[in-house]
Parts: sequence; C-alpha cells; structure tokens
Amino acid sequence: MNGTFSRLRAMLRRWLGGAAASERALDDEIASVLQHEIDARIADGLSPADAQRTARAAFGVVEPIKERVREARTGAVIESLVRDTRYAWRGIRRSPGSSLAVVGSLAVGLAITVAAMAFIHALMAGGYPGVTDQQRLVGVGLIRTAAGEPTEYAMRSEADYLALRAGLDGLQGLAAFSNAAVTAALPEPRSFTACLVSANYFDVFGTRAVLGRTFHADEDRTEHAAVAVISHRVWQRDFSGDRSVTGRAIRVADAYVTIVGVAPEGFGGTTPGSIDVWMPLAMSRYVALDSTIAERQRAMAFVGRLKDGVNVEQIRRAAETIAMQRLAAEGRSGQHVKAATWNVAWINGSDYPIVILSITPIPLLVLTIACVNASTLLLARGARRSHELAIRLAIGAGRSRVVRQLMIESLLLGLLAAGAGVLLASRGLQIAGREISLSMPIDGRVLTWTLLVTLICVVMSGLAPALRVTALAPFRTVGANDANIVGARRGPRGRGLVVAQIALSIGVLATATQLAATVAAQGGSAGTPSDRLLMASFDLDQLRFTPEAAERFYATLVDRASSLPGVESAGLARSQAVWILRSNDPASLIVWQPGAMAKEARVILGGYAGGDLFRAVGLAVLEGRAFVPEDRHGWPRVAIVNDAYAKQMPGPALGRTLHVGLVQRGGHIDDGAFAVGRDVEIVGVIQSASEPRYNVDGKPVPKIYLPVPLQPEPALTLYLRTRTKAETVAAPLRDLVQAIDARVPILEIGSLATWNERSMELAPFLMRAATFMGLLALVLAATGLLAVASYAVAVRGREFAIRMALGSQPRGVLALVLREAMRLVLAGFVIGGGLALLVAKLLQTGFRGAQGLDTTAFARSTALLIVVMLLASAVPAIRASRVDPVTALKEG
Amino acid sequence: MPPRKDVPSGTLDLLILRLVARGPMHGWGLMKRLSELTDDVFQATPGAVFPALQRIEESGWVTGEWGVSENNRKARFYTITKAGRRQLEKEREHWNAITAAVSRVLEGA
Repeated sequence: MNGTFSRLRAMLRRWLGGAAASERALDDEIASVLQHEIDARIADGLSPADAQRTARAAFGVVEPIKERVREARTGAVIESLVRDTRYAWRGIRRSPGSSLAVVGSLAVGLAITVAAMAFIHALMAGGYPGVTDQQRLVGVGLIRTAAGEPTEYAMRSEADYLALRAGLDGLQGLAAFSNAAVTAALPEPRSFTACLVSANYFDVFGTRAVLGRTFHADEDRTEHAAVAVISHRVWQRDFSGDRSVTGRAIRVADAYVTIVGVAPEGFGGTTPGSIDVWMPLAMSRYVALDSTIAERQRAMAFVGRLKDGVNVEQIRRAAETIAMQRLAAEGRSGQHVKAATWNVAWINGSDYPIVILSITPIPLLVLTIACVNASTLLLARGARRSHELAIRLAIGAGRSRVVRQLMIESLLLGLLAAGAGVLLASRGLQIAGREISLSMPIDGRVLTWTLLVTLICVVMSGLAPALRVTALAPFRTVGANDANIVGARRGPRGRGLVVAQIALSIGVLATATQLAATVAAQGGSAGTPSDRLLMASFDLDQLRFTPEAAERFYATLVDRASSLPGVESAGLARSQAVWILRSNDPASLIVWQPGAMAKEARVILGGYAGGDLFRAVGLAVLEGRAFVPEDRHGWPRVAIVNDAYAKQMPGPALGRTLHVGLVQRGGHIDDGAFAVGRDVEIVGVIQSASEPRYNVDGKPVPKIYLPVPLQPEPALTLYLRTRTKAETVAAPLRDLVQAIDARVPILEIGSLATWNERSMELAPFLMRAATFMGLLALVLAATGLLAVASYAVAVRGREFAIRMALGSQPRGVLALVLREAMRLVLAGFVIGGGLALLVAKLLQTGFRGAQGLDTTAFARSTALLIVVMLLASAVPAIRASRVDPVTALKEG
Repeated sequence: MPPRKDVPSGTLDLLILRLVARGPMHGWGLMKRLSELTDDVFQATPGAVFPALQRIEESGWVTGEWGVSENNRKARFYTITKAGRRQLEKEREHWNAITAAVSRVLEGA
C-alpha cells in the first residue's frame, strides 16, 4: 500500500518531466547492460565480434523489452493511449487528402443520421411543444349516420361538446377548439390563424403561459371576457418580445381583445406552430363566426385528458352512449352514432407512420454507404502504408498494438466526422425546422446516440481494413506489390463494396423519387398545371361587409383579375369547392333526388362556381354546357355536376332536376333545410378534379355547382389560371386587391402546388429530404468509386506501363479503366434497380395510392449516376493513360 | 539440467529486493547473480528484470543512481530504501507462510 503514492509521484514526475527523458534513460540502461554482457563474454575468451553477436542474440529484440517496461509503469495504459493517439494524429496529418475524404464521407453520413435522429426524436419523444404528459391526451369524435344514407355528419357543435363534457367522467377534462383564419389589426393588418377554445383548453393540454396567464374558467361563458393569448411567435415577431405586451388591446376580426398571456414557444395544441392567437369560445360571436355560414362552419374538435387507469376504449363507449341519448332525446331514432377515440400522440391517426417508416431506412442506408466509403478509403490508405506497417511489425510491435493504433486513427477520424456532422446537421435542422415549424434540437440524448452511432461506424469502417493490412506476414509485405492488399486484380472486395454502394444509392434515389411522386399524386389536380393556378382566399365577413358590398367586391375582383397581364381565366368558389385543401372550410350543399323525403338527403361538396371557374382550374365540360351569364340572375335554376356524381345517378344526369338546399344550424337536415332549397336542372357535366386522398372506393368525390350562391358568400377563393408561373401574378393581384378595397387582406395566397404542399404538412418535406439524401448517397458512391478506381490505377501503374511499352495506346488504357469502372456501375445499377423495383412493389401493396416506380425519374437518376461515375473514374483513368512506362517500370 | 522457466513476476520483485538489500547492484549484475543463485532454474531475462526494476523503483523500494561499474562502465545502481526493507520483510514473511503451508500440504498428505 505504501508504494501507491510513490508510484503516483513517479508517474506525475515522468509526465511532467516529459516521456522522452525516461525513454532515453531506459535506452541508456539497456545499452549499459548489453555492454556488460559483451564485456563478460570477451572476458570468457570470445572475440569482440563474436561477443557482440552472441550477446545481442541472447539479449533478444529490444523493442518488446522496452514495451514491457512501459507496460510496467504506472498509468501505462493512459500513456500508451496518448502515444498511440499522437501517432495516429501524425498518420492523419501525413495523408491529409485521404483523411479529408474519410472525414467528409463519414460527416455526410453522420449529419444525415443525426438530423434524422433529431427529427424522429422531436416527433416521437419530444411530442407537442408546451404540452405536459401528452400520452394522456385523447381525441374524441362522433359521427352520425342515418340509415341508408351514404354521407356521414360529424357531431361537433357546442351542444355536443357540453353533453360530452358533462358525461365523460373518465376524463380529467374535455376541451373544445375550432380554428379559423382571421384578420387582425395590431394595428397593421395581419392574417392570423385563430383558435377559439373552451376555457379549460390550456389545462387539458397542461400548458402554462410563459408570460401572463391563460383563460379563467368562466371566460368561455361570458361575452365580456374579450381576452386573448398570443403565440410565442407572434409575441416575438409582431411585438418584438416586449414583456409589457399583456394588457394591450388588439383588434381581431371585428372584436377588440386584451392580450392576457403568451403561450410557450412552439405550442399549438395538436397543431404545433400553426396558431397565432387563442380566444375563448364565447368570443366566436365577435370573431365573425356569428353568421349562419359561420355557425355551420364552426367545426369543433374535442381533446380530453384521461384519468388514471382509464383507456381510450372506455371513453369511446361512454361517448357513444352519450351521443345516442342525445339523438333519442331529439327523437332521431332512425339515426346511428359511431364514436371514435384516439391517442393524440404526435403522429397517430394520420398518414405519417407509413411515410416515416418508409424513409427511416434512407439515412441508415446513406450512413452505411458512407461507412463503406470510409472503409474502402482506409483500406487503400493502409495499403499505401503497408511498407511502414510491415517494418513496425518486423521490429516487434505486436499485431494487436498496430491494430489498436489504426483503430485509434479511425476513431479520431470518426470523431472529427461526428463534430462536422453535428455542425452540418444543426444548420440543416435550423433551415428545415423553419420550413415545417418544428423545433428539432440536438440535445444530450441525440448527442449520446450520435456518439454511439459514430463508434459503430468506426468499428464498421475501421476494423476490417486494420485487420486486413496487418494480417500479412512482414516478410511478404516488405517490398511486395501492394496490389495484394486491396486486390485490385484478384480480390473482389473493394469492387464488391463499390457495387454495393452504387446499388444502394440507386435504390435510395429511385425509392425517394417514387415516394415523392406518390405524395405529389395525393394532392389536388385538374387540367391546369399546379404551378400555373394561383389561389387566393378572402373572408369579408370579418370586415362586416354587407352581402351586397361583398358581392360587388367579388364581382369587381373576378372581372379585373381576369384581365391582369399573364392571367388566362379567373374563377371564384369556396376553397373546398374544387379540392378539399383545408379542413375547416367546408363547401357543401344538401341534395335531394326528385321525389325524395325531406330527410333522404345527401351532402355533396361544391356550391357556387363564379366567373370562369371550370376553365381556370382546367375542368372540361363533358356533356351539356358551362354556366352562361343568364344563369346568374336571381335564384339558381340550373346546376353542373361532375362526372363522378353523374355516374352515381340512375340514368342520364343531363336534364335531371335536383332539389338543393343548405345545411342549417347545428348540422340538421330537416324540413327547414328542404324548404329553403331550390329545384335546379342539371345542364352540364364536367370532369372530376383529382384528389386521391379523399377518393371513396377509389372514385373521385361527387360535386355539384350552382351559378348563383344560395346565400351570401363572404368567404371565397379566387382561382387564376396563369400563362407562366403562378407566383409571378401574386404581386399584381395584391396590388389589385389593394386598389379595389384597401381594407381587404388576402388570407392565403399561392399556387395550387403550394396549397397542396401545405395541406400535406410533413409529407412533402420528408420527400424532399429523401430525395436530397438519395443524391448525397449518389455523391458518396461516386467518391467510393473514385477512391477504388484511383487506387486500382495507382497499384496497376506497372501493368499499364507494360501494356504501353508493348504498344498499347494511352486511349486503350483509358478505355480499359473506364470499361472496368462501368462494369461496376452496371452491376450496381442492375442490383439497385432490382432493389428499387422490389421496394416499389412492396410499397404499392402496403400503401394505398402508392405510385409505381417512376421510370422517367429512374432513368434520369441513372443517367445522372452514369455521368457522375464516368467523371469519378475518368480522373484516375486519364492519370493511368499518362503513365510513363520507363518511370513506372523503374519504380515497380 | 532442470527446465528453465521465467521467474514468476511477484517473486522476481522479492528476489531483487533481497539481492539489493546486501548492497547497491546494477542491472547486469542483478541478472547474473539471479541466474547463479537459482542455478539457472529461473531465467532472469532482460524482458523480465527491466519491468520488475521499473515496478519496484516506482514503488519507492529502491532508488536508481547512475555510477561506474567494476569494469569501468557506466551503469545504473539500485539501492534499497527503508520502505524497500520493510517491504522485503513483509514479502519474506508472506513467502515463508505460503511455502510452509504448501509444503505442509504436499508432505503431509
């Protein structure tokens, strides 16, 4: 025990005094002992030369002795690690080119993996920002169906809410909310997404205000509580993070409200980042939701928080019982109610899981390609250093020691790559995060995973080359041809890796483009290309326009917009009349077949079609005619249906008379609704717009259009077909709106492509990410090919020299190298194409609406690959063709 | 001649301490003396002796000083310290106890 301090002191002295001094002392002592041995042997009568020789032989090799002494020292493990690290660092600095290539490859692979981990972490574990214990959140929905009626109605009125809230005692609380696009004046006009909520909304989400307060319990009942909570983003963007913002009044739609609090950053209930302002439900009367349209427009969603030990199924049964009682009390026994409950976790109940699952392998594939790359590069680098390694092995360094040094070198490279990867990823996540309003921090957990993945990569990419380059016996390697190691001629390993890389990158790219096509095809489309249809939405109700003023505004708008430069035609309709791009703005009519009973109705989407709507969106008239100016006077007398609806009718659609009405307050379809309806004759059948997401049994949604609205339409969307890119007309349109009425804001504007993207939330982003990763994979694979081709060329310099000395033309050598590279590309292409086809088939069977392999995109990516690969192999090939036979043969 | 074996490392430390307890010795002298005393049963190779010296010097049981050897060569002389003597006594008692116990079992059984 008493030796411990002394040992530590010795260790410290050695470390502080420098390792070199103690190494010198060791050398001196060994020399001294050897000299004594020689002296003794001379004294025994040997000649000095013999004495020297035999003494050295008896002594053995010096290096292992020194190694054992070093190992006997205190802190020997640390010291040798330090020594190995220093050695490894020198190795890295000696070949900066290949070090950079290894670090670059791994950094790209790791950056993508880190970003993917942060994304999935934010999505899964992170959950909704600002929400406490989200596992307990449960969504509740009620759907009412009448016997023999194909259409379903969601029960989501205030009365439905109150009944559920009173009856569901398995919940700690049930909140209701409803989103609406509103105009706010701060006083500068802004387009806001408002969320009208029950007072317990923030309690149910377990969310506290970061500044001020949320709502008091009675604030959703009294109309005097004109209060609002603003989002963190609005606070930062519009109020510059001013802490005295509480107490300030702003105008939202037609109401003055006092800001009482600021929500946590990113918080948006179940739609993070999308809400700008929250107000109590009672405020809906002042936020322009008091008209009849607004009443039926208001579709509330319900979210509850489960009590301990209660599951979603119990809530579902309870909700169904409550809803049935409500129907019975209203005397609607012929109708039936289905309740649905679901965990409101991040990705539940949406299309994401399949999308996420199908792109999760992509980062891993890219990382694998990067590791394979690093492995190839390290192998080539090891082979270049085979001479040095052989000497080290020959003078007695153990193989495990050399392997350890090489692994430390790999580890250093891996850590450098991880650092670079994290930096790249955090930059990328910042940009992507802004695009999808999701904060994806690289936190401790992600960093831990990164480190783990890096270590796995280091082992995956470093161990095999380290073992391979140290496996050869020293005597065979010293002076032997390096070609033995990578096997440019014989061993297929390096080439097999390249083929695998090419196959993987082709597979990734093909699958990514297929997924992108699949997602794109889910969006809305019609005859007009989606980048040539500009859509701009308005809501005049919030501005208290009279119906007449609103009508005048829209008439002027559609008239003058159609003569804007670059506009081919202009139409007006509700934003859901053509495609269901927004869920909170239904555009539906109730339709009775001739002679039907009042309650035998169907809800059909469509409604008013103003201006030249069908030409603007590109829906051709298949039968009959389009609307003519005479149709637009007084009450609607004619209608146009789409092909999908026409096909559902018994017999020809044209000339048929339908009775068309509007859904009344509370979503009731009854005699009242029938009474306000009108008889219309079908005068035309148009093409059905495509929106596969909402297809029923694979068929498009039936639609019906009227030349005149059944009631004033304050909220409409302008559809402009443009000659070139839709966005070019956005600025002139803004000016036009400003000129017609400066008070009117455009709520949302963009091409159909943009609207589609927004309606699909994460999916388009994920697809772009997948395509990006596919391209990176391709670049990595090209680097791999470059590495192997240039290495093979380097070690075959002698062969090429002989070929050229025997009369081969440089062009012949060039062709030879290119041919071999292309053989690898072709093999990779066949395997990768096969993989992509397999994945495509799997996706098509597993995912409804999946597109087949996009052959044009596949051909394009293959062409790209071949070009990249040609370039990658051309560089070393040209180098090979310039080999000077004399020099090469002399060196060999 | 009995087969030559490497000295068990702990034992080698003890033997070196015992040798330098009589007076300062240098590395070659130690190796020579060890071979003589054990009739070459133990092979006191440089690969074993140098690490052992490193260990016991770091433990503070011997100190090494450069000096001049009997045949006028530079050599590093090892001198036992007080702590080294204490350690030697402890090790010796330990060794005796163990060998006595082992002998008792081997002979008595």
